[in-house]
Amino acid sequence: MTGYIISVLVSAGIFALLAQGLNLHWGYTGLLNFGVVAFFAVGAYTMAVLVSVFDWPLWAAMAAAMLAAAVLGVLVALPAIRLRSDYLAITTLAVGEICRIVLHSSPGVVDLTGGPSGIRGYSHDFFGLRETLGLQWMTGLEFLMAAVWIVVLLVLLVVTVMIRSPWGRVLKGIREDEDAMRALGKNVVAYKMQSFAFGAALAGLAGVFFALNLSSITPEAFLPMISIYAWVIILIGGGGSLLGPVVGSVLFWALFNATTFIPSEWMSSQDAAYLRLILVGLLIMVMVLLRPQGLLGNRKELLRESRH
Amino acid sequence: MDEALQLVADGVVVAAALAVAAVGLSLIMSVLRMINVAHGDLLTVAAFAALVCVNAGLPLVIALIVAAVASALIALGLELSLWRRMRARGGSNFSLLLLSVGLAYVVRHVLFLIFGEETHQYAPPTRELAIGPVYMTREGLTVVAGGAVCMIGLAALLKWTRIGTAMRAMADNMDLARASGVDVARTSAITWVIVGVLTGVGGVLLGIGGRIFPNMGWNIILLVFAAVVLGGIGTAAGAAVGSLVIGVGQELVTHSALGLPPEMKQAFVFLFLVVALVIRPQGLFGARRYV
Repeated sequence: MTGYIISVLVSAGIFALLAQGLNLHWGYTGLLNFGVVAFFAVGAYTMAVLVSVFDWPLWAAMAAAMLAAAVLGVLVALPAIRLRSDYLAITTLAVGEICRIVLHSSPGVVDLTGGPSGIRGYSHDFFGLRETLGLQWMTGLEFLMAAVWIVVLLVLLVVTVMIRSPWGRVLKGIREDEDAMRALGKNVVAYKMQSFAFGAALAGLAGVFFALNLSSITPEAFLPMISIYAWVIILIGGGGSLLGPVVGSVLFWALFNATTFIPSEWMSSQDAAYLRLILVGLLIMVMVLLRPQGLLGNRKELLRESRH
Repeated sequence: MDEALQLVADGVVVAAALAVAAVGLSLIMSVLRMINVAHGDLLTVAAFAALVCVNAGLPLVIALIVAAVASALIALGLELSLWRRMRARGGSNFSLLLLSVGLAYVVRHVLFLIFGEETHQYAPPTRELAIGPVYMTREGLTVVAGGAVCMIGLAALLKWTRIGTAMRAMADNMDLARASGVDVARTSAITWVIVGVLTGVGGVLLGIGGRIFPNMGWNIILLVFAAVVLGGIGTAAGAAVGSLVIGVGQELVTHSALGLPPEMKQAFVFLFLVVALVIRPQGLFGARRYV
């Protein structure tokens, strides 16, 4: 049971960061990003390659990972914010797949990423921190859980401050009425780009912790399914609410990992994995049909057609 | 040169199945303004429906008909139970898309649960026939012929029948169509039935030309979307041309002179999709209005 709780909290923390990034894209800017896995993958791989191939210190690699994800965010957002909402969704889905395929088999890139065999040996620095901090009594997973949740809370604080700042109020204004903000002389495109880049950086940070949770990363860990999980979390928690992604993530993983309690006499672990993906699909459908604003969201804020 | 010609021939086979899949997606996008992400997985359902028939000893032609009918019934059922309800409630394009993502996950993993991960074939592949400088299998030729029949049939239906006119009117301007006496609910339902039949045939053609496995439809949905976007939404000719460019293009990228690993071909198609959407979202033949 303790094992279940810790595994839920580790995944929930990582995906709370990812979903908070998506929340900035969708909940606060109205950009329908279905390829959040691209930023997640770029963050994970940037950190892993810098640490294990170039021997960078962990903190610098983490900062570089966030920066790389933010740069990709700007590159995607630059042309994409002109598109109709559902077309943007497809475009970003394709961007996620391009990232995965490039990491898997692009000549030049695979020399660094190891292609399909993946990359390992990037997490010693992180788990070595336990000795430095005198926390040897914690297991590696417990240490990771604590670190992730400290970061989740810090990010929550930063995002709250930002959303309540004049910058955040303009962002909300754009979501409610873009033309009005334009008439007030606000550079709508610049605000959207900043929010998109910030969200992408958070997704990159989530990718760093995702990599630390695995002893090696391969491109197959970055399927479009990751973006779908982030969406389910937003759908559960509610977009445009600051606590929504955190609460949604904990509920999602508590439910998702609960299928491990299915006795193996009932069904094989493979079938249980299929069953839980069926549940993910059903959850999306039920939330869209019954409560599109999520558990914590404000229905009025989010039922508008988010096109621009 | 021979290698390039062979790649073109392989690409045409891919394109034929892709076109039938693409035109279904495209019709729903134009007439009902919805991106159905589950389209790929409904192709898979049809392919498996035919597989069950073939395994029961029925000839492939009967299996094709069963798959088409089953697929049409599923499409109609979904329209009546899900999509119509969502539209009536004023659901946005995006909530419909999200709903179809959920449906795609449910359908695909139910197939995994029933059929497992193995790949299947309707029949062992036959010997390749030399046609001029290129080699094609009998299956490949069947797929090309089947694809051509579907595309021409659909183009004729859209152009010359009453329902085709009603569908084009709805694609053009929903309110004007309603005001001119088009029964929108009925036309929507019939559109789904037509798309269901196309999905059924498309899924079986994909199965004939390749292999049948639960991920087959999901794996090609972005390619199908790329074909639709490239050709322009809502026309049979657009879907056909878009599919030809995508199908032949992705095979040509694997030409040995370029020295790229074959896995990269999809990355090029997706990149192409992104660039096409950004530069010319209405496609080669489409009108600006849908985007």
